[in-house]
Amino acid sequence: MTGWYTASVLALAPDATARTAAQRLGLDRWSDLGFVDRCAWGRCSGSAPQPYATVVALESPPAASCSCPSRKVPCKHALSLLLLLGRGEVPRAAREPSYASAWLGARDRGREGQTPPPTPSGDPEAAARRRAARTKRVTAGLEELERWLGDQVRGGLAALERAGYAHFDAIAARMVDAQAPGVASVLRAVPGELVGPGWPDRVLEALGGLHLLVQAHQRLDALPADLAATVRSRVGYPVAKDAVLAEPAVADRWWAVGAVDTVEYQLTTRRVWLRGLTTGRWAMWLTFAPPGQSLDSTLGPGLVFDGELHFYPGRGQHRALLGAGQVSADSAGVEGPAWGQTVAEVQAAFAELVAADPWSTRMPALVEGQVRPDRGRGPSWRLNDRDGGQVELRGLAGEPWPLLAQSVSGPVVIVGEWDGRSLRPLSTLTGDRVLTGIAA
Amino acid sequence: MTGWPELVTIALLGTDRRPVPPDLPAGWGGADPVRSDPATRVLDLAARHRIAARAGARIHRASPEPPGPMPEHPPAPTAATGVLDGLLARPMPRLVDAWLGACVSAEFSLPPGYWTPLAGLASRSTAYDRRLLGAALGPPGRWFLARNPQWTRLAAAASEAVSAALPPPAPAPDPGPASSPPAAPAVTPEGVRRQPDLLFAAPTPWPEDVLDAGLEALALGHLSGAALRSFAVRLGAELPLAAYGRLIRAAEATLHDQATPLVQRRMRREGFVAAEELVWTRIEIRDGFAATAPRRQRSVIPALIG
Repeated sequence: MTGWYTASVLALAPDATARTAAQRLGLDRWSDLGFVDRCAWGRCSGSAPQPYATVVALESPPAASCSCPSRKVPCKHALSLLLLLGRGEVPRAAREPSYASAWLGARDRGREGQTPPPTPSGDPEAAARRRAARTKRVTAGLEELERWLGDQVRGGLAALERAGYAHFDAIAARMVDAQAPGVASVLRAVPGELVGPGWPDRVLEALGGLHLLVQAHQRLDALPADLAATVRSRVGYPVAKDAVLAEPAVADRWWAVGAVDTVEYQLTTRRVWLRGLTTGRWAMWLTFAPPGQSLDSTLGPGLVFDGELHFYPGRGQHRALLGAGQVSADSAGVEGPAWGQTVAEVQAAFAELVAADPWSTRMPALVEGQVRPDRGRGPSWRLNDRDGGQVELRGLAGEPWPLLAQSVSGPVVIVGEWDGRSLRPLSTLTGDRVLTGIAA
Repeated sequence: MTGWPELVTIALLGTDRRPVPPDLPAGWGGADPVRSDPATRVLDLAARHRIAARAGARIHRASPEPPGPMPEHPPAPTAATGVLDGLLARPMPRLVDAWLGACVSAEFSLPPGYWTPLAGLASRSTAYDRRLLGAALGPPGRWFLARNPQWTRLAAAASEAVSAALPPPAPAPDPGPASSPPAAPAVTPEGVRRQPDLLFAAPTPWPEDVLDAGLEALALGHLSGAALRSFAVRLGAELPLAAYGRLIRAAEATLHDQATPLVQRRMRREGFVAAEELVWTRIEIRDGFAATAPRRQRSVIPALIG
């Protein structure tokens, strides 16, 4: 059965142990295997006397039920079942067994109790009134923000060091009320800049960026359409998916080369960076997961989306929605290492991005070089490129010894996020493979 | 006004306390809107600086470093590293050493992706053979170890073994037909039945009757609890690979014996499962490095129904 590629299934694993354990459960451990359109099932023998009964609902993301004692979600049996399904080793059946029906029925009954979301109104006049009302609320909110920004500078930023998170949370909440969630997000990040040497510089830059955004919003009607779209995006105006899907598509084989997960207020967000194998264009695919739910693993590092992407409007915009196309694990023909740039080339590209979108804080990059520990300036890591350019590596969850291992004998191509001063490594490219284990 | 540092100082103190000079910072250039409010002017300049700093950040430069040493052998094949992935999920020093030994014997090297996890394991436990690790790492891997101060001892041990020009110890050969007289005292089947651990003192290759006596220790419930587990693990680590089928048949005979109570069969099954898993892993290690390995079918220790 297509769609359940090994990489995407393994991406569902809660940890590396589950991932490895699932791969070790071969077909010889399973019995009573089968699948229909909505689910797959089987019994897996283990150390217990009775085989474990496993059912997986074939949704995105999939849900699973297993009689094993593991508390991991999904467990290794569910992962193994999906792997077998992806390899075509699970036969199609006429109907599911009773234990699968019982579990699916219980799930369906639980879902029926939920209220479906309200469908948007089809009245264009009403929609226009709502848009105008929103713009009015946002404008009022940003005027309040401008006064607040001025107050901080008039009174002196020195007071912020002791003000705490509450000082920023209050104005951020006001921005949420004003329907400017993008601005609220930036404000909530400012307290994190109050730590460490050089904080006044960072904070003043952050406040300057917000001030520029307010100024741009005040002149929204006078801006070029694409810049106006960027400003709206930064403020946090929603963009309907239908509108994005109506944008002209860009067709290519899009190779997922890196991903990063962030958590804010219990909402997990995954940024998957895609590189067009023909166009060389960058794209970002975003998925979200509320607490207790898995992220959509349709497209993860190493997989290729052969199809169309629809980009969100705005200058320097990377975010895109998947249009018509297929996901596969086929990255044959890719020449990853040929793409590696020097530090200077990446910085030049970032300068172009900032010129297009002054609020850009990061950019995907492929940098080729050698990774070395820099013990002379405290415990830090750097990348040295072939021209002698050097950049600090930041944002790693652990020390990048695996990165060093890959670059001992020669340069390696690193996929990362560039912020103008440092690189956050996400993965490396070796031939046609994406390697994501870069920190320990 | 000299520039950004002065602007930051003004902002830090507050425009109510520190006036903003009327002229633009030197080198900033460009016309800026006339602002009556000093705070707004500071924010304008901060916005301008923010863009310039991000877009025009200076790149540090340094002399290119020479690369580290090159590997002497090709990396281990995918079939072999797939087995290593499984070993690292639940590391057992004996099996990891078996893998490293097979790797060195087959003249492959440990791929860079495994240097960090194995260095972590070997640096925390002397149960791992550091000589084997050093040999499998090769010159680039040993260079890598030396870069981490936490691996200093490990790096020294790995390099010392190699620099002493001692060949790495060969992995325990899978005993074929007996070809040399045993050097240890004779171990009898009766002795093994009384004391199962005597099996491991028997000279290799184990005579069939001695091996069968050892398998009886699992089949007849002579051991239980930790002793059973320990015996099963050691049996799995040392059983000749050619005797895999014998182990499975002993398991089947035991677990299908309806005359034995279910609860007892359940306990004995644990021992067989533990032993089988280890033997199969050793088979996978051997086959992983073979140029053309036969496609083997793993046997399943029967489940207990009812």
